[in-house]
Amino acid sequence: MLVGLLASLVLCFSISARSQDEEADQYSIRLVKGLLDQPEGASVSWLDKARDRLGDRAAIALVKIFGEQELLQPKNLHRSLQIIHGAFSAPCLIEIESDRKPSITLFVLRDLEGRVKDETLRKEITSTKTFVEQGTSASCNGGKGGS
Amino acid sequence: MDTGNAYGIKEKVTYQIVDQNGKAMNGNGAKMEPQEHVEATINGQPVQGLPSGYADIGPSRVAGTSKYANAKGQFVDAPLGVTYPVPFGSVSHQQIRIKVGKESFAVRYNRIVVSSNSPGHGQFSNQIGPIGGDLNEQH
Repeated sequence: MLVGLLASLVLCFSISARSQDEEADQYSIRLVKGLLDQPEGASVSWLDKARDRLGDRAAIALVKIFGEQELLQPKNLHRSLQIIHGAFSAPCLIEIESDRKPSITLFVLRDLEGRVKDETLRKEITSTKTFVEQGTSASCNGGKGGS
Repeated sequence: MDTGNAYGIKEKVTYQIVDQNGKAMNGNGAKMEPQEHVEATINGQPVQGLPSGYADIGPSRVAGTSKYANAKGQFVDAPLGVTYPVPFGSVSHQQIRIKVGKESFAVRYNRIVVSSNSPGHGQFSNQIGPIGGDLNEQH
């Protein structure tokens, strides 16, 4: 329910004059679809670098790609959690400063946590939520990681 | 770079930016920003979702990478490559440019072939390039 509402809100914020492609780029939907397109366990360096720079945008893209029920399907949820994990694994690499704050991500994870019935999946959600919260609590001092 | 038991290989490449006479460039105080545009296939299928335009080569999670070349005009591209859960072959076309202020200079084109037939192993080869040496490595 909340995820559906969130998807509607995100859509409302979209500027109608923008083309489909520009809108897709804005939320990195192409990239996240590309990540989902890879088999589990695959690692393409250029996709991984782009994912590491997403931060909060990853969750927005996932909500827009999957419908509410689709996101709850175990396989989709598992892959989505992996992408979120990657998108926050090096918070100082996140390109847009506001995306370093995981507000949408935590909103989505808390909602999913409350609705998923499978105990293993719920633990996976909780673990991802904790990872994101802990990872983003440190400051980047305006830097972008690397050296 | 260690890829565990996955199929494939990833590299860490250090580049030196040079002028038309082969002399190392330091940017004379201007920041030199290495960027890449990549198209790739794995087992003949195009990799979807790669940035449609140029994206910064660094920084990444790998130590030594950065958004800008260092004071000696060097930069690191890492990780570079593919690992996969099954045997595979990939071909990637990487165009590298250096952005200085509002101007960009195309400096290199790499055709990178990565393949693997057994876990924990991979072949990496690179063709073409005016900067530095080509790579041919196996592990």
